[in-house]
Amino acid sequence: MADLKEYKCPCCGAAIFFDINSQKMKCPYCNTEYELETLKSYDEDLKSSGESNYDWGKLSGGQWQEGETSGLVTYICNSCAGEIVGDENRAATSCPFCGNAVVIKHQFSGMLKPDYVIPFKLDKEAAKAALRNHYNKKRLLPKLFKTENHLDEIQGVYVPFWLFDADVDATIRYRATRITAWTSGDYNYTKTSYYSVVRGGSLAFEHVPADGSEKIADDIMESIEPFDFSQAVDFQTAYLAGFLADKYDVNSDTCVKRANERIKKSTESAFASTIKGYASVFPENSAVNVNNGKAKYALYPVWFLNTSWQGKNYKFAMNGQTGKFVGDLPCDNKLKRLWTLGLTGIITPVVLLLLYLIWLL
Amino acid sequence: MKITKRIFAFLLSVILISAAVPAAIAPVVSRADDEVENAPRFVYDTEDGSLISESDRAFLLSKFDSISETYGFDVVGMLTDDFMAYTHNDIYYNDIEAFADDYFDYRGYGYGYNRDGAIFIVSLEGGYWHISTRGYGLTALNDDALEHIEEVIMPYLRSHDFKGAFSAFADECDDMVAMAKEGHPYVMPKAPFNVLTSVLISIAVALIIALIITGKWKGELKSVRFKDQASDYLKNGSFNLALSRDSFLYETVTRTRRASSSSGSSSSHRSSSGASHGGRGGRF
Repeated sequence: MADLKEYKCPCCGAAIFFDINSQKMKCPYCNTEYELETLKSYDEDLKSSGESNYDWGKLSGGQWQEGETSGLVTYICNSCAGEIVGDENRAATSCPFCGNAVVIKHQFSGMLKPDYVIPFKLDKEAAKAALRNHYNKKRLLPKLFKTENHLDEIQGVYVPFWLFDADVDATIRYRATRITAWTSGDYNYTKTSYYSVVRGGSLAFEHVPADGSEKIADDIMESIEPFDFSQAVDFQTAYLAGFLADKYDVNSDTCVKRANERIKKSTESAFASTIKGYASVFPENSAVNVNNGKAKYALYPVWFLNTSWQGKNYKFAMNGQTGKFVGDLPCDNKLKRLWTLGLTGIITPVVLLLLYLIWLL
Repeated sequence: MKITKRIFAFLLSVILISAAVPAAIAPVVSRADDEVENAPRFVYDTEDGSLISESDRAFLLSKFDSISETYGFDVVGMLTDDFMAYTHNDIYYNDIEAFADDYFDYRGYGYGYNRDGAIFIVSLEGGYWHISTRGYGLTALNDDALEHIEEVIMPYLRSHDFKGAFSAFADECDDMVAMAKEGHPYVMPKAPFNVLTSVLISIAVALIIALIITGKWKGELKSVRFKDQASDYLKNGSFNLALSRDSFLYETVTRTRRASSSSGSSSSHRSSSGASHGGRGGRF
């Protein structure tokens, strides 16, 4: 009796029994019949599915060498308490996070030394040009925004990122359907076949970045991705000259959660792309195991631009390596309504003509 | 003695009449060959003789005869109290379509090898009417034509003007068969182009398209959003698919009735004799 086994119906989840008449397993509730082999393999699918595990090793950056930090100072914003690091020769004029003009210079105090840095490849002029370009081809951007908005500040900031490397093992079970349709007599028939689809294997991620600064919005940082890590170099204080650097204030253990989410989604879609020939595919269980996780601390170059228009601040960011430029722009709702009306006026006769042509046929 | 004879004769007649009554209640559809030969093209089978006057019956009969002979296409009319009183192979009818098909088939109507013709039956009990077509009838009185005929005869039937209904049916058959013989079977005329509805639909469709376009333009203003995936950082060549298993679980089949066929066509079915019939019917 020890190996007495209860099978659950894959269709409705009820316990199912062997039906003597059909010599198949049959669900007494939904009347679906199954071949024994089908249930056996489905049971294996269920067994092979499990929970996700994220195993990250000790996550850390390096320590500063003696004397290395002597030229560094910390600036603290009076308004948002944002803390940034720069060389002592640099006069920080305003806070890159909130735009406040008053920043106070402090002696540099300890933080982890970054492992890598991607040096700035694009200068301030490139950032200005990218901003002008960002306004182009935006039909609903208020006309006056371009001319009236005032560029308050451009700051090149090295943003702290945690970079995560990991090997991933995953087993993902999907429920997939195939649909066939045919016609017989007075009826149209639709047959939906259900499949249990299992995909498993391994893949590896390198340098998945997560923003280590609390004050810098994560969505802006993810929007200017990707950074090309092949151009990263070992960190040296000299790279900070002329720029600011933010200190990380979110530790790697917190950041890894976001990295895990993104790794899991990418893993699921990587395996899902190997499933072909089905009408629909839904993941039912996904077990993603992250192994050999390593975290590195790096500074990535970002240009921040603050503009103001009609009393509101608009923040833009440019990837200092690739030049990818992002930043939400205001929408002229009056213009949008006018365009909607105008387009309706233009499209209506076209649709009417089409309706008439269809009627003529 | 005389009285006894009379009583005997009376009893005999009662017996004979009572024996004859079931036969009168349940007339059979099929008839002997000589009756088939001479089956009239207008059948008046009701107890109430006043529904269509004698002279009108004669008029209708001659009208049906004349149209039938002109085109070589039997046009038949029948007014009956109750088609359910008829039997075939001792089974009573409960479906007027089957009755109309059989009445046409077994009474020998229809011209030529294909039995070209159509029959229009009105059954007073329950207010049933049905038109059954066979042979060339499926071409001349196609679905469109039958729909049109229904529109024409329904007002007569509703006001119990049976002479008008049969006369109109005959006239319509006259037109329809003539059109079909000329190579242009009846096609339901198109509903006129409804300008107001079309304009309203056009504005609604155009507004939706315009909103989609301006919505897209508004979307272009937003460039800050989370990146859900980390696929940019997938190590080249690291993807290794080790397990790939697809197993069939179960299937479900659903069926839906097909939409009826398009205009100009003729939907047909088989009658009990195996012949292919078209038709249309309903109640009034």
